[in-house]
Amino acid sequence: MGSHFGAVQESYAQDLAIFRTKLHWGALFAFLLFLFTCPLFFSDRMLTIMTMIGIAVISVHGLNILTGYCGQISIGHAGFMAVGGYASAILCAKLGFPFWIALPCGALTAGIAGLIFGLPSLKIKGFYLIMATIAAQFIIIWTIIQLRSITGGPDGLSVPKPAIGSIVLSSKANYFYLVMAFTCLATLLAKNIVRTRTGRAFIAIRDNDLAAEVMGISLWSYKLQAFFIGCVYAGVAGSLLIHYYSFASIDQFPFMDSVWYLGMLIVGGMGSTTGAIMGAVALRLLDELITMVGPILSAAVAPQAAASLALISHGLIIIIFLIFEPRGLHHRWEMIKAYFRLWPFSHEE
Amino acid sequence: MTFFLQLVVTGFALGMIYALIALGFVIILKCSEAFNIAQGHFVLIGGYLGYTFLVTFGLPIWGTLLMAILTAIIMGLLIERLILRPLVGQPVLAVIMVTIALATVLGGLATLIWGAEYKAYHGLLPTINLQIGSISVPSESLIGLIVSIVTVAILMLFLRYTKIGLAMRATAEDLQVVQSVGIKATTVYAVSWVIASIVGVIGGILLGGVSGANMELAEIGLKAFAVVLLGGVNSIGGAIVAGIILGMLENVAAGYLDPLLPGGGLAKVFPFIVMIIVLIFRPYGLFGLVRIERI
Amino acid sequence: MAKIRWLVVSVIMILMTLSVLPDGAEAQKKLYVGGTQSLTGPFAEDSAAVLAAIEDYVKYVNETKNLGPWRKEKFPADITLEVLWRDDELKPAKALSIYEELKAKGMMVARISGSPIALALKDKMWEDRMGATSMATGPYYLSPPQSCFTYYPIYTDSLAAIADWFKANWKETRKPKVAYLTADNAMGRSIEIPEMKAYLEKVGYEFVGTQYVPLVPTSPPTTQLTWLKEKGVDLAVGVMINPGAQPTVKEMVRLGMGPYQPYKMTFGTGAPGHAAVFAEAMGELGDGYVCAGSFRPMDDLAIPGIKFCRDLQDKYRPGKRVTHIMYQAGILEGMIQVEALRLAMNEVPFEKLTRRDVLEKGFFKIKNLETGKISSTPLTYGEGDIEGVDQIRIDQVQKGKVVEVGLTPLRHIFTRK
Repeated sequence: MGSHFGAVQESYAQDLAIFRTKLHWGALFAFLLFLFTCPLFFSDRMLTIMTMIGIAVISVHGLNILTGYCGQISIGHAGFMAVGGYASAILCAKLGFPFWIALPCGALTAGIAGLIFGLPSLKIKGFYLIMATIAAQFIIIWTIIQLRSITGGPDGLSVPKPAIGSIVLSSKANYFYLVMAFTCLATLLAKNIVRTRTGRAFIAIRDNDLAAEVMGISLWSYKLQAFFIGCVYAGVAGSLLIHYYSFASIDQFPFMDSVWYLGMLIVGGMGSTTGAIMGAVALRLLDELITMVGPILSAAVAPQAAASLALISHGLIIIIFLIFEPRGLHHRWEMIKAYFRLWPFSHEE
Repeated sequence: MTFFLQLVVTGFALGMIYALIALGFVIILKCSEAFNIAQGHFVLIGGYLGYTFLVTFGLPIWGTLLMAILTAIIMGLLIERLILRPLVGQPVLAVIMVTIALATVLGGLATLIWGAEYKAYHGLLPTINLQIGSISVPSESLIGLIVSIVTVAILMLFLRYTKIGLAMRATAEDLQVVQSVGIKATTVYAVSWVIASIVGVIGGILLGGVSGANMELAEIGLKAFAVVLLGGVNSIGGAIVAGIILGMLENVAAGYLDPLLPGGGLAKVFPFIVMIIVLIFRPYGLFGLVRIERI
Repeated sequence: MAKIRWLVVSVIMILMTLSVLPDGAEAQKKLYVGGTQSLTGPFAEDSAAVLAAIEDYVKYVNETKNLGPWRKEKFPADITLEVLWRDDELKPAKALSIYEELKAKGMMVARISGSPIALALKDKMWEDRMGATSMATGPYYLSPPQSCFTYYPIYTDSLAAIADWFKANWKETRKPKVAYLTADNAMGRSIEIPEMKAYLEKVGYEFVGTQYVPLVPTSPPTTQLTWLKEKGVDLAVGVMINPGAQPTVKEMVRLGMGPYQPYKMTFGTGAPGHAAVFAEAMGELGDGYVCAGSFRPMDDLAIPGIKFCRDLQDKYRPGKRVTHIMYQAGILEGMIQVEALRLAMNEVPFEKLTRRDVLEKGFFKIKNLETGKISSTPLTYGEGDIEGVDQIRIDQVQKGKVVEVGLTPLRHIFTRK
């Protein structure tokens, strides 16, 4: 390889690999090293933020598979997270399951809920599907309230600290490792799912469902698969979230979260695994920024200004991205990379 | 029996307000194929505008309506020009998402201007006492009913007898044909947003008269979606009928079933249950055109 | 154009990175009060008033070293208080990172701004031995009792107080009929526990049933009220917020129901339907409305606590006066937090002070904290005693004004195994 300029792939396997060059591998290792040494030099607050980002990333990956790749728009993702979270919480708290069994069970339950609410997608799309998923969100939360005897209803449900074997994940650092491990795994899987036959079928359905069906892709099966996979991701995220709080309550899965997961996807760039990560990180950091600015703004202007800042800036960010950067941060990132790859011969777009 | 009739009567009047709000949604959808999730937030702004003009400025009711409508016109024009116009021709998700973002911004503006406070203006709207047998018709709902009927009638006349109204209906049928005969599509879009914002604001003042202006008013928008889906997304008449049906069904269901449910809250989730059922069995609603692609 | 876009993107990126970097060094001998706020969402206006009050109270303590005009104790002269707060937008995830941040800054008291935040944080706080004042109140604090302290009673206790008061004034020989008329959400339905019904029947009521009003009604609750009338209900109790209570009472009057109407019925709610807010918006239309455990009107200057609120505002925010009654709650929260810090410092020197000390030697030791009659009674906390008050004040709207009509002991209706 030394004799080539740039990256030249010499076999099909090489060409298809996600990490193709030494630089890629180096960057990956450096990043993983950084990620897993974080607890050594980061404060509890940073770890909390990063854990929350990790959970959001997992959730947005799921939504990305469902919406970004398969084109089935869902504004009920927080609802499916609630199903996963509550299922695993109930298994842990009421039936005494260990955490590492409860989590996959929760994910599976969320997947099944996804299948059920994905059924209308066989008949409808676009706006109608959005409405169906919004309805799913509200119906799920309402059902959780109704099942008071097992979910604790509005009072919530206390969940024991997660433990794997004899290690109790009680510290921030422990839990951070767990979430990061899941996030990496989820990213790897997401990246690969969309490169399989299934993933290509998703993209075909997104781009033109009629053509896809004519090509022999079973819409029925693949749409439901997309719902299942997307909601399993949501289930894992919801379950991690609940176990992090050690408490399940419906307030952890508000409707607006569903909207913001979609917002993260739009900001990051739909249909790209990197985009999903970028979006989740960007919007969560924006949240933190707003939190920091709030007291300053309140002192300078008025508390209302601080309060409205969050709403207005969130809304404006989405509007600005939709109008000026509809392909998201990921696209911008590719442009930056291309700029430097060609440097100094690049030209202004 | 009285209980049942009472539920039906209250539900009917409530449904008329739903219908009014849903109308705004349908008009935008018909003219520009845009789904306006922010319709509920027009209602929210309307509630607060009602407070501002009635209480802060002390205007009479007709003055309030006039000023609120003027504000709504400006708001509608600004929103269309600044936010929706750049997205003409974009995929459905982009338009929906932008209206969601718009909803957030409107919520933020309400927080900024009115401090997200609860503002009541009881007793400033007129009261009517109507008793039919043993059933008492709530005053606010009756006024809501009258205002809704008047607004809907004006709207119908507008769509039938004015040039721009006709242009709007034509745009709903076929955009290209309309453009080729020289009607400016952008004007039609702008007018549709103005109308949506006007009916939303009127609805807001009516609802504000019942419970006062507060941030929760925006939730009514979600109910309007259920109305729209039930009626058929592109049918104005459908929205009205569906609004009434839904208002009555919701009231009756909540009245009889809520005491039986451990967690209650049926009135809030009921529209969504209707929504799912409609979407599965009759996605084009009761009166909508069967134009939805079935795959 | 492209350059501008680049610039904007990089500026945003830099700002975001800056936001998560830790702050610089801290001054000496400084203690923090305050905590998370929910300036966005349903408790926004409450939270804003609370925040303003905490800020004013801290300025007062810093300047005068007094703890209140009616208190003789002094706050240690060499220690400065500072208010530290962040807006959590009522999002548990944000509250969590805010909590970690404030904790890392050395804050030894915290606050809870609403039940979603309470459910997410209470276990963490208990683990960290962090004492907190709470704007939310509910049975979730009771099992097991933790480190969040409220200054108004749990809703079931409020309703029991109303029932006691009504029964005490009941003249007829037959049993009075009681029904729930309550908000149709988690808060409103939290009163539907067997213990509550049992208590009502024990004190001699006939329980009729329940009617629900949406939290924020979109049409007047005519149906529900007609039902109550048909069943001959004498007392309707429930938990509602003002946007629910006001239309309900308005419709009652139209239907001729109420203590001063042809059909005699009294309607009482728990604390969130504050009588002062109610009376101000409704005037004489709202006569007869009863509320238990709420704050007093802000213009009731005969009450020392209210006068204190007024003086603080005159001094620290002239022209930008906060008229919301939750300003009083903020004063209470400020007092409780500062008192806990002060008590702890009596036993442990400033340099060695920990969160655990503030909880165990501070919050737990608060006995008969005089609040200038802002709260129903002086506040007393202890291990397992998270409800500060021992009695509940009952207010009624009469001739458009809030009148205190009774004071009944806390019944502790909610018991959990």
